[in-house]
Amino acid sequence: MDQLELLLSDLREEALPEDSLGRIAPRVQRTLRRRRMTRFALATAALMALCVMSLYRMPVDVPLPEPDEAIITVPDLALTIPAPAMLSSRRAKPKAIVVGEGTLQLASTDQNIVIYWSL
Amino acid sequence: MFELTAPFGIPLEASSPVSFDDLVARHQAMVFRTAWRLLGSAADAEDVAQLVFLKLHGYRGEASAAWIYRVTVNLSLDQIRKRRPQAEEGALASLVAAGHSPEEQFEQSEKLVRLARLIARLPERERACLVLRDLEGLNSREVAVILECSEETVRSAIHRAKEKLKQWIS
Repeated sequence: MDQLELLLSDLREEALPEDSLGRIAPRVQRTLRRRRMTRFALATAALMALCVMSLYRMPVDVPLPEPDEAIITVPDLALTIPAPAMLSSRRAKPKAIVVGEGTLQLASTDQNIVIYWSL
Repeated sequence: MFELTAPFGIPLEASSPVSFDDLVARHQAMVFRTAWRLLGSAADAEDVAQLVFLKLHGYRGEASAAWIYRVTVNLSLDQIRKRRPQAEEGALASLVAAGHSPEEQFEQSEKLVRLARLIARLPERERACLVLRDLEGLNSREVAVILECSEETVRSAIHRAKEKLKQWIS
């Protein structure tokens, strides 16, 4: 056996560092536990997001009123209670918007309330 | 030398159904030893061993001893590529310094440190072949399966590696 083979044989017999060896399994377990917790947290967050989204109503088309009728609709009931309307100045009077043939959307002091007026 | 519960190339689960913890306990020495000999650094070998077992945990195919060796070698070589050359040589030198008292280290390790440094200078393929066959004790066919090459390639890589080492030693 030449010198190289002897040296390789000695290198092969080198003892493994036991402390390093003992750390592997706990490290793997710790990482797996962390991954599981992350997945659980993400799944919980997604579930909560779905629940919250299901509380909100989808926007619904409001039927326009018949002639000489008015419809007052509240588009989103899940919104908070509207604050008292601010006093509008005389110059900045809100104007009605034409939304259909002979139908106007009247100006409202409350953004959460829409008033349609059919002529 | 070859201390696997599953014969080479046979799925680990098929040979004896065990839990993941058992798989880690059974194969951690093999994985760590291979990574340690390729990398030279115990800390880096720990990182690689952890990655190997995390891959094994997420693997849906049939993992065999050959698969574990292949993943270990590939991840170790990735780690080597990320390092600077000086850092790698230093890490290889620490391979022989671990696990001994200072007196023993001084007496025994001088030549081995040199050999480890020389092995660190070998090209990746030659180093992997030499470590797997001459330090891990696998045969050429098994090394060829792990490195996905022919037995002839393994034998010639080891021959070239040894010629270089002999030349450098003398």
